Amino acid sequence: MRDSALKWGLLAPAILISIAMLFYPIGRSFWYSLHDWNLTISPQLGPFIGLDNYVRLLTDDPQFWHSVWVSCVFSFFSVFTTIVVSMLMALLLQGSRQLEINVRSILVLAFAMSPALVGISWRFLLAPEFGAADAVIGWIFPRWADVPILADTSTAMVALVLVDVWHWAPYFMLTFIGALASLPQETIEAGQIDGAGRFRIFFGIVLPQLKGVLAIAILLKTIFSIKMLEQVITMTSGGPGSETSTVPHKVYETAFKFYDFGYAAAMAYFLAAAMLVLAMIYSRMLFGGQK
Amino acid sequence: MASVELDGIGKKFGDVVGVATQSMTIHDGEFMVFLGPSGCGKTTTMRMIAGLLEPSEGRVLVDGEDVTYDAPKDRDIAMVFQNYGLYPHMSVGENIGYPLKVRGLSKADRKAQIQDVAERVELTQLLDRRPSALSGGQRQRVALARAIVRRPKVFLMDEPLSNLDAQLRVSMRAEIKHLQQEMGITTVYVTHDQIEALTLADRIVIMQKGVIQQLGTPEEIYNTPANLFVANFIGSPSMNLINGSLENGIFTAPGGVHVPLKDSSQKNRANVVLGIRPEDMSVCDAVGAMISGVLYNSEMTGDAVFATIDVGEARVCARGDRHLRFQKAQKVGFDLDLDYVHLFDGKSGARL
Ligand SMILES: Nc1ncnc2c1ncn2[C@@H]1O[C@H](COP(=O)(O)OP(=O)(O)OP(=O)(O)O)[C@@H](O)[C@H]1O
Ligand SMILES: [Mg+2]
Repeated sequence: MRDSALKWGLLAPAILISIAMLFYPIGRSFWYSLHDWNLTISPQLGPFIGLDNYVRLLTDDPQFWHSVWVSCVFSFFSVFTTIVVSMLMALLLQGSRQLEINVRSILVLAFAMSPALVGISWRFLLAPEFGAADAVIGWIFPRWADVPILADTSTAMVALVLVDVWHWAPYFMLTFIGALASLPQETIEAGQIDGAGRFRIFFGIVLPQLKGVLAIAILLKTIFSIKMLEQVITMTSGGPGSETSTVPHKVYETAFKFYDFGYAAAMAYFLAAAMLVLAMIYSRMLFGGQK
Repeated sequence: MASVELDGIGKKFGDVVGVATQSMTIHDGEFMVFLGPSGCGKTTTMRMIAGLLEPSEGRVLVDGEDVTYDAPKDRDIAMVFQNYGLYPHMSVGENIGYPLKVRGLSKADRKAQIQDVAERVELTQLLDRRPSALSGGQRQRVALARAIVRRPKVFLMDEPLSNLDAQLRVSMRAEIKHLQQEMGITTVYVTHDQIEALTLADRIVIMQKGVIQQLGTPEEIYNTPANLFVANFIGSPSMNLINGSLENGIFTAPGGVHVPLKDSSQKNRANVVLGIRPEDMSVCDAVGAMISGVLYNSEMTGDAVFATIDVGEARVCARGDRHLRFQKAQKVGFDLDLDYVHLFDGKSGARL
């Protein structure tokens, strides 16, 4: 009895904080999602409407489904490109020469920046009137010299994806460098002796041994990509039109532009459900499955 | 099948000399063992033969052809690594067949050859397992099978048995020797275990601090060590070494050591080391013996008794009949078999 009192006593602060900071807001927002509550009409919680918000979301909102599609496109390309680019960077910079170490530290700066700052910086860099990056791109590809990159349908999404890659690749590069370093060197040398060339060694011996790390990296990046919001707000505001309006951005707009809190909460829950599935797979991979 | 020639090869790591400039030829079909204490450059030399390490100087020739700057894959050399270097994501069968797969053999051909080698090393039951589900000895055999499956020109093994227990080591040793003789593949084998070296080798290279001390057959190494290092390194218990002087064909040392040498033509020297193995001495009466002293210790090993006596500053050990028994602080004498007395220069350590 005493033991169990002590146990709960020690756990109590953590549980209380979790309830106050995590479960209460989550439960509260779920409660909102069951109401028709528009702040422009009233600061008081509106009438209870059951699952009407969810029904509207699933059956009668093409704009929302458009944002789901945008999120999927963004996530697919940003995950794929980030993983490939960071793996290439890791292979290039895995050594321990001074140059490699220095380059690595510089690259990690990109990851250390806050996402909002990344977005704003790139917005300036890509601004048609005075952006340095915009000028360089125009100089290398004259075709795009006159294209306002962040405001053009054909380039806004590309820019968003590439900036996200720029932001995240160093982080995954470090992950992969760590994984490469922990690979038994003998297996690679055995591959050389057995007659395999560089590509064969990478794809046949190195990559299969990195399978676990790679799977976790892909899953993590998918989670990060799906919930990415700051760069959309700071770089494109979802535009041109709603070409780059991802689900989190849609939630943000609905809540803080149109003040439709009940409906925004329902959307957020839809997103949360998807994230929950991914998070569960992630923790399963990390903590379980090590047979 | 091939010969391997190292021509003035050397390796420096920055300022550290890994292997000093040296040359040697490993004959076709020969079993060559690199033996020496830790850090003497055995692995470094082997890796230069394999092509995993580029020499700082000199050339590597396989069958007379210069391969110094060829990639490992172009040398047709197989290697067994100390920690086996098995591919953890492949089954035993796939591991063994990998060199064949890389060479573009069809699945059916591969299967037949895998089956063939697996039988040789008794792995047929385990072909579908992952390496992680094998014992150390089994992993060792997989590594061996992967190396022989393509019948390479040269076979390299870096301390392949060091991770195994004593009993398994003996049986794997026999297995390796048998395989090598049967297939007649030129083999270079690295070890720091002298028993392994003496039992396996056609010829042994003894190295120390990156320098070859002696290259010869096990008999030569054991019976005519080229210098003090080799004399001391080979043999267990090791050779007795007594500092003394040589005059008129007679070796004398403090403590009344008095050895009339067989070869009386040796010129007089003030600083000489006499070497004699414990088994080349016989225990006798202290009076009139070539070496005599007070018993320090005696050990029964079952088939023999080793008696150690104090002679001057030296401590000398002799192998005696297993029925011998001694008393504490007894005076004991040793007679030397003069056919097996070794003399070394006291300063340079070179054999006289
Ligand atoms: N990559 C390296 N960088 C610097 N020094 C090295 C390197 N590899 C080996 N050496 C040095 O070269 C010398 C020979 O090393 P080597 O690995 O050949 O020894 P070894 O005879 O195989 O020893 P062991 O029996 O312990 O395996 C050692 O002094 C070692 O410290
Ligand atoms: Mg070594």
